Amino acid sequence: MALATFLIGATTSTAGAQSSDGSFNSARRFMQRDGEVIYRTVCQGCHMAAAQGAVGAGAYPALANDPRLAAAAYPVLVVVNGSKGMPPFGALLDDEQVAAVVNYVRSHFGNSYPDSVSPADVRSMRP
Amino acid sequence: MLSSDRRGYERDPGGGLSGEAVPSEPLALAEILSSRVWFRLALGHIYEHQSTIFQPVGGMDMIAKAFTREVGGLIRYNAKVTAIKQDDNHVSVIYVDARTGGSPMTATADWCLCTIPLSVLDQIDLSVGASMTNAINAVPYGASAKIGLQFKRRFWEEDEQIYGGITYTDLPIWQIGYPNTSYGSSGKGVLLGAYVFDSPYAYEFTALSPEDRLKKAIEYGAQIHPQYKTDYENGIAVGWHRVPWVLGCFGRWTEEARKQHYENLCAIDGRIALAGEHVSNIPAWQEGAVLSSLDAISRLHRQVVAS
Repeated sequence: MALATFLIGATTSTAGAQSSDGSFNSARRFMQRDGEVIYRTVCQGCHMAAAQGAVGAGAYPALANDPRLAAAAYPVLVVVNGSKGMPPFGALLDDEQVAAVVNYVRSHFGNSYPDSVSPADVRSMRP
Repeated sequence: MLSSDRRGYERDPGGGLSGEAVPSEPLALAEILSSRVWFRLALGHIYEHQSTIFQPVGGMDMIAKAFTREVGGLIRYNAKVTAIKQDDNHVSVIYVDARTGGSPMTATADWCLCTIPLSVLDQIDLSVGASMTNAINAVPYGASAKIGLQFKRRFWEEDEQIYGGITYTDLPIWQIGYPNTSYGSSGKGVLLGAYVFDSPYAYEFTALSPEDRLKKAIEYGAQIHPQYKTDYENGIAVGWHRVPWVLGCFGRWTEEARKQHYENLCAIDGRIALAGEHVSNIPAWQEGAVLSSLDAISRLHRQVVAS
């Protein structure tokens, strides 16, 4: 495959059949705005539908009932910068989108942390 | 009329009295510019694609199967490695049966050339120094999805005179690949219905169930080939982040990460060396994996002979 080429060649699709939830709308950035939609159309690829994670030769961590989400800065930093095998999403999601998905995960899947992060919080944590 | 010699005709030139060509209507300039066709035109001209690239008869995994033919007796299947330990004289690999679990087993050797993807290796208890550990942790794994679609007939050949090659599109499927073999045969045919990587589309396809990935690929592909709607039979869809032994498609190096960590990843740490596409300057290519192993084996050999 030719990675470099598609990094250049990737472009916003102008063609029809875009999904109304914002997914499959752009080859450059995620266009989904809603936290739940971002989780279902992006994060779920690895962390799975119930945020239960997965186990193979290696594992994807569960985000359900996850004490590591207690400090909101931690998931923000992981989403923006990536962690080990997990790719960084900082260039694909804006501050509002990062805040939306972090707030969604921290208040669902058995997590009920009362505080939330704002887009400004995310901005201050970007490298 | 002259320009139709390049862009094609409304009716192609033919023979006798029925063969008069009818020129086609040129596309509007704005339409050409907004299609960003230039990016697709450039694809075949990048250096990696300038040489002739052959396909193994039977598919890319024929290369892996050829290795099996040569050294099959040495391969231990379904071994899930949990730790790799070394001391001054040996390397011990601790593993369990991936299907049945059970008590850990140990394989011991003088040296270890480890080809486990970094996305998995970074979760394994590995006795190497900080510089190699940091390098292993520094490489995220890229997303990719690939979809194969089986049709009742080779409509692209029968209806549209397409024999092999690739259709590039800005739809989220990015490309449709036509089989470069068995031209003109009757019966079923399989298309590469989508191939995306390093893009939101790759993550979005991965996040869908295999059935929904197929549905999407058919929905988009039918905009190019309406025959999808009548001739589709079944298909297969892979999102690489869902492949349990690799957790992603390829090591996604940045220039900065490479500068900081690449040499440390390649360096022999005591009795352990790494190989794979992730230890190469041609990430994601099988060639990168093969060349990295030859390089690592050559360096190990020199070290062993000298010691």
